[in-house]
Amino acid sequence: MSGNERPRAVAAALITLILFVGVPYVLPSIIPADIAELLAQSGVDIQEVIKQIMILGAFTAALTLVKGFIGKASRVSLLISVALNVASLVFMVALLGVGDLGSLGLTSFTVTAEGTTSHIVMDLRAFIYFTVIIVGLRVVESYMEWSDARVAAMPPGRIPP
Amino acid sequence: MVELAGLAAFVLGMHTLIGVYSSALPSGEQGLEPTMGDPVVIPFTLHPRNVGFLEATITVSISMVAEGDQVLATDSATVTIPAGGAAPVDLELRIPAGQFQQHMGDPDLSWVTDIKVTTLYDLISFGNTVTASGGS
Repeated sequence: MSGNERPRAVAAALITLILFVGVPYVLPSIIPADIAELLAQSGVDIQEVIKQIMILGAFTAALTLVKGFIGKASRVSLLISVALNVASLVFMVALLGVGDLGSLGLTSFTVTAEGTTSHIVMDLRAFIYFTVIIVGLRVVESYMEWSDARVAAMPPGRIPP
Repeated sequence: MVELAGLAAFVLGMHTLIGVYSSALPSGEQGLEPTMGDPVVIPFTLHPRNVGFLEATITVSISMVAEGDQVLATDSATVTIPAGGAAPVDLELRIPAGQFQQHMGDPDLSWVTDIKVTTLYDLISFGNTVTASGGS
């Protein structure tokens, strides 16, 4: 492992923590009251959405940090790469589903005000399918990189299994 | 590269959806101007514009509903708006004069408006069904 990888991993984990844990933590205090009320009326549990993003952020930051401190050829490194890709898919589903992971991009909510009811439906499933394809390709890429790293890490003359 | 293309598609798609939907909403108070006769004809015209960079299709339907589920009149139209373009949507409700007299002013009368916008080759959509109570 090169000497640059550990500081890089620490920096990446810190940035992830700030963006996906720090920013969501302060977000409720800066959302205007009328928007917060509108979200509450529509049944969107903004606290739940923020909690999901923060959990995913902390999980991703921890994995990023650990990955920087272990050998690229280890099985744990491959598992972490796969877990990071799956976490990015879950993040996308949570974001597009406004916190409802089961909606898989087909989100609906209802707002009632002054004798008027609005039922809003957003169909963003195409982006979920797209993300699934991207994550699948990145998992394959991670496997190939891990496989190359294993070959490179072997003593000279050894034939990889 | 592929991720950037996906992000660009998301931003452009959402921009088009929100732009077309918000321009389709009537601005200010728009009173009903029924043409009396038998049937009574109530015209509606929306003027959606596509300020986005993708072609969009908008489907609008409007219904006059009494007592929760009795549809007195309904009409719908679908138009495709090219990027940067505009297309008016004309609808009209035709109601027998007797029913019109019976239900206008009825507090159980409601107006159901459904606006659905699709874009990005019909892959993504945004729809809003608004039910407004009151017969006046």
